[in-house]
Amino acid sequence: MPFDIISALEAFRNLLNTLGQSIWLPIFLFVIAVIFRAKVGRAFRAAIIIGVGWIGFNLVMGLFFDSMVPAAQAMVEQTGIHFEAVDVGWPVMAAIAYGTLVGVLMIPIGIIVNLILIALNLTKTFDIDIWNFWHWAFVGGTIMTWTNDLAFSILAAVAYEVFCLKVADWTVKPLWNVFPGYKGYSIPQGGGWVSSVPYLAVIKPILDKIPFPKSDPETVKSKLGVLGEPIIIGLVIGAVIAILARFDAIGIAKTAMASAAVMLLLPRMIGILMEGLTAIADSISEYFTAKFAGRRELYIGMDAAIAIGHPTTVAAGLVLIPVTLALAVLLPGVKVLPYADLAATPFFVVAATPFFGGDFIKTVIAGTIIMAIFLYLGSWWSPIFTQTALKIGAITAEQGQIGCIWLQPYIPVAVGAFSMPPGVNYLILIILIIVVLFIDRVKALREFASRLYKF
Amino acid sequence: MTRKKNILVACGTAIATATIAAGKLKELLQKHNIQANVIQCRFTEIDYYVKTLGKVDLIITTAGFPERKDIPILNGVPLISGVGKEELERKIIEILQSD
Repeated sequence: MPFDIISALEAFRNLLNTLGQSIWLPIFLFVIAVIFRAKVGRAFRAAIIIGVGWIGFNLVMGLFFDSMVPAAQAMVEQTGIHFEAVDVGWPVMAAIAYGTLVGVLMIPIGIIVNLILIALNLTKTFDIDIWNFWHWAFVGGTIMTWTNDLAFSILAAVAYEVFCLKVADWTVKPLWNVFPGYKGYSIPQGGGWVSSVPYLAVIKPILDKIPFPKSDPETVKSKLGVLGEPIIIGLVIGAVIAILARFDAIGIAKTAMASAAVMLLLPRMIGILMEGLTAIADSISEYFTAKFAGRRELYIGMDAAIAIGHPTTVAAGLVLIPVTLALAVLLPGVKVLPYADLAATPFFVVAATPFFGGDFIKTVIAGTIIMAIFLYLGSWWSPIFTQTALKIGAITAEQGQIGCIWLQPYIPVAVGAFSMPPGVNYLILIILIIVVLFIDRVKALREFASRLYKF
Repeated sequence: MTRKKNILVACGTAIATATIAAGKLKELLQKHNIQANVIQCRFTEIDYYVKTLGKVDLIITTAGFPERKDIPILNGVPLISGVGKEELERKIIEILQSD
């Protein structure tokens, strides 16, 4: 072969690592934005903001490693409790996903795949929420760490994108029943929404058979409201960890305060990264919206955040904070200490609320089951997540493990597929994509689903 | 000289959708020459900000359920999706220029 593609890619990756995300990520996204006809001045400013956001993210991660990790390690030593990593939360997962080469490639690839599926009439969802492409970027980026196979990783990420778009199509009815104002929108967000739908599909028919008393989410909301504040969650958890670690009074106060700071500042820093990214994503989606506007009936794909304000979701999210901590301590084999994602618990039930028509008790039960599943999945995948972060230089080896909870269901699927012989592993993912794309053409299945779920 | 208006933009996390909506809102205000503080917050922090700011003139939420009696509250999703954006922008300007 005259041109060795593997070593060329290897050299390219080394170049990226030398530059660091704060340099190559802005350059890369600037080029993408200009290709998609963004104004050069606007794209330049946005690209710089992305670099600044990445640096801010690293600064706060430093605080996390200096304060939270030693405290958590001391707690583990003192109590013999089974945690190996502290959960860094979805914003960090997103930042690391976009810090990988596969991840950032998923922005243009994701748009192209979506457009092809719309053109072939295989989905109605036009996903303008480019920020949340991070979910399939995360699948691709961490599967790359697991497999070291670029084509397979991209295929896995595309498979998850296809699944997200189809689930968005299939779940518009429960969404519109609860939020009539959102007709015309769908939610292809691969996190809170799509990643819990496979579990809800099993849980819902069972829970619907059991009669539950009615309960009012508003009272829960007003009683537990203060628990939902990130700084309060951070302060309390930091203090509890430091107490269990047998720190002295000053140590406890310092850890609690640092923890409150991490909880507030980490999402803010990712918010800066986000500001730059959305400015670029905006010009891309404006470009396509102009091309597609009025062409045919399409759903506009949005972030699950548009459905977070339901009283049941907010109240169930609050209840899930202590529930999650209890599950993590009580369930054997959970190795991740829930931390940063405790500020995002409403997202774990954002799909459950519409699935149960706003029923509070069923939503809490479903949320508890889903959280337990996520805790196990996160425990299993955290070492790979850590390696991915190490590989891109977001953390250093001596800082120890970082943990995640939220895991896209296609990560275990892709890992399972990859364990098959070479060639067969690709085939499994391709068959899966085809099945997901065409399964709703089977009339008998459609009728069965509508009887089962009654949307 | 009129008082500077306070506008809350609330979403699930104050990271994702509110960032976009607040950006679009600032562009709109600039276009109409309206002086206002645009504050991004989490959906659950609305009451807290209403108390600490004293007077909030408008709440724009991208998290669903725009219902409130004391302060005008609008569904901000059109700012992000572009669908129904003109109508929403007209309402925003109307509310802000009402006193």
